[in-house]
Amino acid sequence: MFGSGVLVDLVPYGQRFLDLEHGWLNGEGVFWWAVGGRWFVTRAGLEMDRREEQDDASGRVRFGVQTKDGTPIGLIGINWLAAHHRTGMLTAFIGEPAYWSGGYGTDALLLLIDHAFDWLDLRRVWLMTMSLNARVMRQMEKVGFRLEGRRRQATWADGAWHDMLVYALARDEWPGRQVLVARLGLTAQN
Amino acid sequence: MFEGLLVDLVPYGNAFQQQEHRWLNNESAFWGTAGDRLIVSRAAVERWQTERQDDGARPDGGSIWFGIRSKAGVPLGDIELGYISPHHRMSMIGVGIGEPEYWGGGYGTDALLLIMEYAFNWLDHHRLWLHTMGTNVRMQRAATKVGFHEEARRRRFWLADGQWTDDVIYGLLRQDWPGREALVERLGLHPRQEP
Repeated sequence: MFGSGVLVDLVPYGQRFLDLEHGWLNGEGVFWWAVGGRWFVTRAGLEMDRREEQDDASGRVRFGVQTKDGTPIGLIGINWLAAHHRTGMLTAFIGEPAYWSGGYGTDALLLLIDHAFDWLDLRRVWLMTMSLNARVMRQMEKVGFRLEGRRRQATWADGAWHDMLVYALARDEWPGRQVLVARLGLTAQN
Repeated sequence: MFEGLLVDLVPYGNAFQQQEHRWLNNESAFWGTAGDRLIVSRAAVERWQTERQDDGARPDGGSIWFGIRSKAGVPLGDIELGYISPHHRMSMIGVGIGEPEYWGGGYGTDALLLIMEYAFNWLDHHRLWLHTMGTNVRMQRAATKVGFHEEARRRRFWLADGQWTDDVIYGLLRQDWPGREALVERLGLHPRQEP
């Protein structure tokens, strides 16, 4: 296990998760993850992508997210790791809609940020989301990310143009996971 | 070929590929790569050129490369559309003038105007974007001059020559683009004596 949180744990992204990912990528969640993409992904296509990623593993980190009772609910990771700039782009995908808005994604995010700063020695982490995604925008604010810019009409999603929002968190702005857990009042739940 | 006032955009062929090893090892690479100082072998350059050709054939996420040639026929550098997204109808402009004596003379600006027209009028782009280091004042001035807006400033993003520098992202929507002719006139671009 890589991180033990209040609601979830981060674990190796193994076969248990891969088996579910096909369903997740063809479900509603992908629209939010892929900033407006609506994909139709075959198992073969997915397996090919994952093999290619393994060949190119130095630039990324990926964890499975599972609840405290061991249910796999999604993935979280860091892409575009830049070793000498010490930056990385965060990516997260809770594939099971039943677990949205319950604090599970936020708990996983706090674990990942700790990993990025304390183990990978990154200086800053960043991500982008579309202006339709109120859930992630609220989460960014809660966790202390700063909005660094707005790329106007940068994604076409469900019949309209939407902005892409650029968020970042610098290491010297991060009070540490324990402080955030307390501030957000994250507690174990059923 | 797209004909400008100071430069033409031409296929990125042999005449340019032969210069690329020198361009990637001189000062222009520092600005073109956002702060890297590359020490690149000929073999590596050739491998990248081959990969780029394969990449250009992909329907999504590919790139289109042009050589920038001065009116006197000198290969000056390259300009390209990268991360082309057909359904979001946008791409990222990358541009490099590999010959420092041509910097600050309007050559890159002229090339930008040509590729903007290509993206909007031929590829039906909705939006263009580019990014550069906070310390790259020349690129920022050029982007602003041709109508790009600063959309994001990512604080202390790059380590370049011992300094942390911002990453500045610029965007331009087609609805804000007045057309190439209007920009040529506004900027007062005209042919000049080459270095």
